[in-house]
Amino acid sequence: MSDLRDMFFEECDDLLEVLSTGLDDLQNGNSDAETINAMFRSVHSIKGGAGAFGLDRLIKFAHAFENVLDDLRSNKIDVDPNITALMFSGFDHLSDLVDAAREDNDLPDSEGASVLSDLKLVTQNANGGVAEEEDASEVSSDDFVALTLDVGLDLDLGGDGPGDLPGLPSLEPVSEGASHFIVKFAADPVLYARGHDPALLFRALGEMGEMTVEADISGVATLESLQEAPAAISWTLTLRPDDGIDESTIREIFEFVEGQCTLEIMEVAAEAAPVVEATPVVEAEAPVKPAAKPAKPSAKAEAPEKDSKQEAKGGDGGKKSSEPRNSTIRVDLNRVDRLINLVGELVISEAMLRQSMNELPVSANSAVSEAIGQLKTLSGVLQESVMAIRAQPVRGLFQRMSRIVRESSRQAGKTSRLVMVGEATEVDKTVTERLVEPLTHMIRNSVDHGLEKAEDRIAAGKPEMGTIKLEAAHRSGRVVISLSDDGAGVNREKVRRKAEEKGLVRPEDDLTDSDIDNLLFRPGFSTADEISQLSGRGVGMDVVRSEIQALGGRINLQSEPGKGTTITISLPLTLAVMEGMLIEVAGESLVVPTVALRETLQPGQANIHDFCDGDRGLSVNDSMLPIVDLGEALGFRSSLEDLSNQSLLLIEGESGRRSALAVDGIVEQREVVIKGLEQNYHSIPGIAAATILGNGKIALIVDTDQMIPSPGNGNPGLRKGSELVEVNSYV
Amino acid sequence: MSEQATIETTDERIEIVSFTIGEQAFCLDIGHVLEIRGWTSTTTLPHAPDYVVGMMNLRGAVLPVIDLSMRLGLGKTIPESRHVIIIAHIDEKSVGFLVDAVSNIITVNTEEMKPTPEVSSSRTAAFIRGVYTLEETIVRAIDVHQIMPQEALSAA
Repeated sequence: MSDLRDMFFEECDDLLEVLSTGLDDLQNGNSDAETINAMFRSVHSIKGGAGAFGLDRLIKFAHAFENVLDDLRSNKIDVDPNITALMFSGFDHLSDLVDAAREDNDLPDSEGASVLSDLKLVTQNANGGVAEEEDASEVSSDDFVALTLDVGLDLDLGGDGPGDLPGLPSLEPVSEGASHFIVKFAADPVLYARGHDPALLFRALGEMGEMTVEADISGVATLESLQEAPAAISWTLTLRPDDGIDESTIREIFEFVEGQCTLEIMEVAAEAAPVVEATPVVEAEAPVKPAAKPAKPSAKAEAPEKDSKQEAKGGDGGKKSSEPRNSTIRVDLNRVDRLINLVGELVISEAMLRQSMNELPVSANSAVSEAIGQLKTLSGVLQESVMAIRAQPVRGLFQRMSRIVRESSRQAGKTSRLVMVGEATEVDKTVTERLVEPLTHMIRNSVDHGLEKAEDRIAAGKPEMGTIKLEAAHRSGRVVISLSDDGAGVNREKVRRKAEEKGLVRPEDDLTDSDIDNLLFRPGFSTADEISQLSGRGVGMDVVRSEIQALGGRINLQSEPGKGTTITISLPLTLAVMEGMLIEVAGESLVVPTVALRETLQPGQANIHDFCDGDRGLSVNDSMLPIVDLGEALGFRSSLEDLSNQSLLLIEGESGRRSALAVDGIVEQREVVIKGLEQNYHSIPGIAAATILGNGKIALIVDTDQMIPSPGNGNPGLRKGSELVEVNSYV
Repeated sequence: MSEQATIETTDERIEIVSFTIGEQAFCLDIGHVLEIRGWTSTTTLPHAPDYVVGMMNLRGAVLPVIDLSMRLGLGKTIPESRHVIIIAHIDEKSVGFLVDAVSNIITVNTEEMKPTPEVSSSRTAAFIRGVYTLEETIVRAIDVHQIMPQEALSAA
């Protein structure tokens, strides 16, 4: 049971993601009928699952939410900012409820109560103030026992008992003689157990045309013979469809309960006499024996056994629905990692096999070499596909952040929106998980400190609504995530004053703007005059920085007064594949990421100029670039006097600055698999990661950003030989 | 006092892998040892301590190889095919130890371990946990946590 429960909650995460994507589309005006349908299905599935586990609050809330979505998709209400805002709050509360249920916690009753009543109000208004609808449907999905006990001994439900479902749009008899469908529907107990509600299905069907419903309650037992087993009521629905409705559209409605009911759809041609008798449709295996509707909680024990039987039966009732667009499976991460390692092993064995084939004295027969060629292709493709498994789009992470923006804005009394760019960028799953905390904190900071108050924004000629932008991209073999706001920017005067007060810098220190901005990352620094509820939680940006560094990443802050602040996180991309240029320096093979590479030159074409301390510059197109001797920078050898035999690689870093790398030779451009160094060692200055070449040898991947000198502020990857001493010391 | 306590509480039989570097015998708890393989070439690391030979490829995993001789102050090893790499897993990291030869797997009683003599070398004190006397040989027990490569703290 707990396995099932876990599975339900995992499913909930996915469903909430779908819902969130839908909400974003809705907000941006990109919604179509399918968006709303998908959202409806998500909430509906959550409700269904919650029903199976008796999570009443979740059911109740999901139900109210679902009704609003239902009204949306039937165009009873229109999408407007109010509705969207309400749905966002609804989404937040729904996630809270799911989380609370997962942890077996109870949220305080007051929480979400207003959202719930708002949602109900919307439905009520949309449906002409029919408040009972809520109650009636709630009873049917909430508690069947109560209903059964209420009917008493007499059990005179009459023709319009539970079958007369409130809220059905039309109960007008279908005019006979016209072409119509007869749908016979009998639910299996499992349908109720999963929290589905026939009333909702019928309502949806009712939207396709004129419809009448008749319930067959002949199977409902008297109280003395009351048993909880099969569901005794069956319905016959007669539908005179609108244009464009055919059998498959009708089946779609019942898609969700497929396998949990007996469904029969008959098309009756115009001239045929309508068959409206309430024929019992329960099949022979489940004879109509005196029984009542299933009582949800107690029916559980029997469910599994029944389930399989009923499902087998239901299977031939309706044709298989089309595959969901994104079908996924859940796999333990460890299994994936094991697979990745095994494939890595395979690729290397294959390379070794190929090499020893080449060393054979006679060039072996062509069939073998052909087979080996195929093996090479296959193992390459295999490796690539396996690597892709672990990478996940950052979409889920970003969507969680959109909630943080909403909450922080509400608490800070500001209005803001989140713009997401590059959500499809794929990042290793572990990295995304560990980014949640730092990003949350950064966003709270942006809303709290970055964005100005509404009146200040208006005074500055900005739109009242602040914009927070979250962007992800792959750059030079790293993932770059940047968070920018269009706020006031860093108040450098204030930052400097605070830093001096706290003794972090001295008044006489000469600091550049960027130096001051980055003071924010120093431990114990907080500029908020009064500690606000939002960001003043004792966690400073220094914690954010150390968390990013623990991931092997770098963080940088850029700010422009009056325009806003951008914080850039650059992270290593373990387990990813990238394009690189294989080069040779001092007998070692190295890889320079192609993304950073702009041009390759031979010194003959270029002018090299000497400066102080052996520094050299290269003049290219009227500008002068610093030359970095890679062999020296990495400590492989001392600086070369003569660069005329060297090849120069022009690289450009994240900051847009350029430099020229002097290397011994350029081998080839190729795709390499990135292997992190931090896992078994630690990060190395000037090196981003490693990769394994076809011959099984390891080549290091150059961190191009660290190979670009910045004025006055030496890069850790750039050391002159004499500075190496500290690294060589023991312990 | 703490030594006394250690001896009392760890009175159990464990297996150790013994190996040699030059004339000296050392050992590791077998629980740390993943496998033993012959010398394979490594890739030199920039800015690495002198005892880090380089990175090796172990079936797709990239791990550092440590010249134990250099680490223990016994001189640099010029690796050749007769050398052996002990692959060990310590503190969540995998690492290869370059040694001269692996001798044996022996079962010892932890209470048989004698404390390291109080010599002047800080390396001895830091890296040798104690010694076992097996027949005529003194086998030095390596402190695996100390022996792992340490990141230079003042990176920038």
